[in-house]
Amino acid sequence: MAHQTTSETTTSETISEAAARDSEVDATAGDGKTAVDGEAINGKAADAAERARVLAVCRSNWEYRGIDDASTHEMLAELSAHLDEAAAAGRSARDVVGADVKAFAAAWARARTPLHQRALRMAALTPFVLGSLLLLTHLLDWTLTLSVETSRIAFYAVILAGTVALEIRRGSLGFKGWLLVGLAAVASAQLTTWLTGDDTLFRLPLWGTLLLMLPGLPYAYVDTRARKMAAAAAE
Amino acid sequence: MTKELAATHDQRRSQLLRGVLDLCLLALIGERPRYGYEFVEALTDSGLDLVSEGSIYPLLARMERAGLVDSYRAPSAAGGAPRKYYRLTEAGTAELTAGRATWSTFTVAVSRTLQGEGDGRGERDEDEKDARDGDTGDARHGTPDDE
Repeated sequence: MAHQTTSETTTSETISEAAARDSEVDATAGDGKTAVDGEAINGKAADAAERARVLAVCRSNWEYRGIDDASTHEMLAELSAHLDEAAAAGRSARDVVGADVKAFAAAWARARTPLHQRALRMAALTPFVLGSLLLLTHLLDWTLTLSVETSRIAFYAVILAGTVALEIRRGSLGFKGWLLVGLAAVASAQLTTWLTGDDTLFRLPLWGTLLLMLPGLPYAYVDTRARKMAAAAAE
Repeated sequence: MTKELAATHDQRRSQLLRGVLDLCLLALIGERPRYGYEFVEALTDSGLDLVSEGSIYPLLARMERAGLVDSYRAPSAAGGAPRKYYRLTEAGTAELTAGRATWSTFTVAVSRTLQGEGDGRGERDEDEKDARDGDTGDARHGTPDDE
């Protein structure tokens, strides 16, 4: 009897130990499942971020390489659909565009539009953007004639070069990018003033600013129209 | 060493495919109009894996500019947003026919060259083997002449 009791006690202990082990295993499995779920969610978020980055870098590269808005929109739609189907098949954005997104975007841009057309577009749109900035300065200073100093030229040159460089590399400026470019532009303007003084190089009348914008107007009009049509088609 | 050989093999495959990718795309469009992702699927099914899938787009754009293919938008069978489908033009069909003829001539020439080299080596190996066997046989059994 005593032996039986001992045996029962031992059995009950064994069961309780087994139950404890099971619960530990369950707990471990639960932790593992949670960890796997967490990793899957992180993986999906990383894939979505990579997809967005690839599309943004391509958009910037095509814009700065002189591809018109309608074509850019069409190419982005094509690439976006491909990325979605590739993702559904378990392949990453990197598998689609390769390790160098900029090179991929550049190759597609070159194949899509001949260099002379792209160069013509950029030659018209660059003064248009510069003219828009100067027009803003006319309005802010509330003057018909702008005094152009070397520091002002340095400021705009850094703003334009910094924006283009960062957007081509990362797809978008972002807050940090804006801050960085802005600070670099102010610093270069200060440095130029310190080095060359703040003498006026020439005076730019309002009509001169408008003249700068003139060649880019047809392109800007066509792009705006294409954007509106694309938005209407999306709806 | 094995890794290097495998890498060289992959690189050769990739270079060979790059040389005929435009022809493969034309042939696939020749079967029926297709959109971007369908080309990748069809190539993969044929055992032709692209290093980067997106490399088909610059090629398609170049062919579209050259007038070999044209495009239209239509809803896909898979659903979702309308896709850009590519179809062959008359110039594209002519290019595909010419490309197929070039490829046939080229592959025959390459095969003949590679096969010839292989056969030559095989013959040389057999000659060497016969010669070795002959030496061994002579040593082992001897010949009436020797005796």
